[in-house]
Amino acid sequence: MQKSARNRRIVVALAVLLAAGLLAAVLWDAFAPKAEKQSATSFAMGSVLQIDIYGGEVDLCGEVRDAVAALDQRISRTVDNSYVSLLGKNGGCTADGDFADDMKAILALCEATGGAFDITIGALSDLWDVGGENPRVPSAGDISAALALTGYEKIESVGFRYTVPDGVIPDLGAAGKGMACDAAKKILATDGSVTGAVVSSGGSILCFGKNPEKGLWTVGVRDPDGGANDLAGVIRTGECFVSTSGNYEKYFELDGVRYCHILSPFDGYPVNNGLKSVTVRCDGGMASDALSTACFVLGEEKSLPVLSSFGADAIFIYGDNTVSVTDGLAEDFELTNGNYRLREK
Amino acid sequence: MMKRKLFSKTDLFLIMPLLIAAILAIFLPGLKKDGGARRAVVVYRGETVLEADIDTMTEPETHAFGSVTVEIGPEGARFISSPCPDQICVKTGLLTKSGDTAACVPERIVVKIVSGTDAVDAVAY
Repeated sequence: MQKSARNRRIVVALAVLLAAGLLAAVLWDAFAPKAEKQSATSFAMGSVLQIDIYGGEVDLCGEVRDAVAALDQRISRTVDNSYVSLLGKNGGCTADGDFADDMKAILALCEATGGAFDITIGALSDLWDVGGENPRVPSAGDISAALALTGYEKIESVGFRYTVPDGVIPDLGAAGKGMACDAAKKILATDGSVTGAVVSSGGSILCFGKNPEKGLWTVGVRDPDGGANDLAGVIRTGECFVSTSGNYEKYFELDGVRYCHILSPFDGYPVNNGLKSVTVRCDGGMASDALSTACFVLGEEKSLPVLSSFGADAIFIYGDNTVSVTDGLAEDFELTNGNYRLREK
Repeated sequence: MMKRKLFSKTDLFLIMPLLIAAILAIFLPGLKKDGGARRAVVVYRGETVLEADIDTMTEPETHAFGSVTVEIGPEGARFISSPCPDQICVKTGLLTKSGDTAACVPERIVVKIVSGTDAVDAVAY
């Protein structure tokens, strides 16, 4: 009898300890000091740069902003004396080590995508002027002439000296916003006090560390047919980069045909392959941005081996409102918009 | 026959903390986020120039920032006018839910809705 009562007391004591522990965990989760958040909204590369950082001990938003501004000065076509502008205008430029590193990586991406992503697309972009003041459907002859000035292999380098033939116009616009995310990550990782951060450079996203509330980050994927704040679905993810290319950002319509700003370096025309958008998740900003463009040009089937070679995953949204998701994203992506449905594998 | 109590005193030591933990686990996440009160935030040329608790507003207010006009009211916030050529900011329309953002890049102004209950951390576009 005494033994039974003692056993019961032990069980109750353990249960009370367990309950108290549970209570403490709930209270800790609610009231534990959370990492300080610092945010900044600014403009870079012709779009919004949104920075949200948790846990940083110094003004890291300012550092990220400065690094992206410095990148903009090196690679933007809209900056008169950027290396990219000088290369296009003068046929050559002598760059610094940072630009040389960027060019090495970006030319490797051009090659890895078989030229679907090509940074010499400038002559074609200027000809079509989609999103510019004078968008037009050029003549076939003009397109052929601009195509002859397209091809990343035309860029030559000796040391830090880069040259292109007359008329070739380099344009890093399809990778620049992802490169801004890379620049941000470099600062955040070097600091060491940051527990989590989200940086959005014109819709290219860096998720760094952990979300202080939920652990994972939630990245919305834009509804190609909706407004700027409408989503097709969400990705719940750890640290990564996410970029989207779609036919809805810049386009013009003529005789019922939509001409989007993503041009095929293969035929010189705006891509019209049934895709509305491609979203890529991978472990590099430049790569995610460049791959989203390349996959939009290539279409899903030809994209899969390229994505696989980068350990990247993608979401393909089609004109018929079906959505295809590669295996690595299947568990992390959720369709939240009833207008879309997942394709059966 | 001895009447058996539903709970003994020692049982209560176990039940009460569990009950309190369960109740707190259900209600605390909502309470600690200010009930998701929405604020409209205007960032103009890198500076936060206006923050308004739109859930307590009764009438819309119009504000000018440079040559851009923004309306903020109980239903949300929106760009009314801008001199920019493409009018993307105006076409974005009414921002209502946390995370909604509109920007006028030429005029360097961003309007967004924020609260403690953002559904997404960022949008890829």
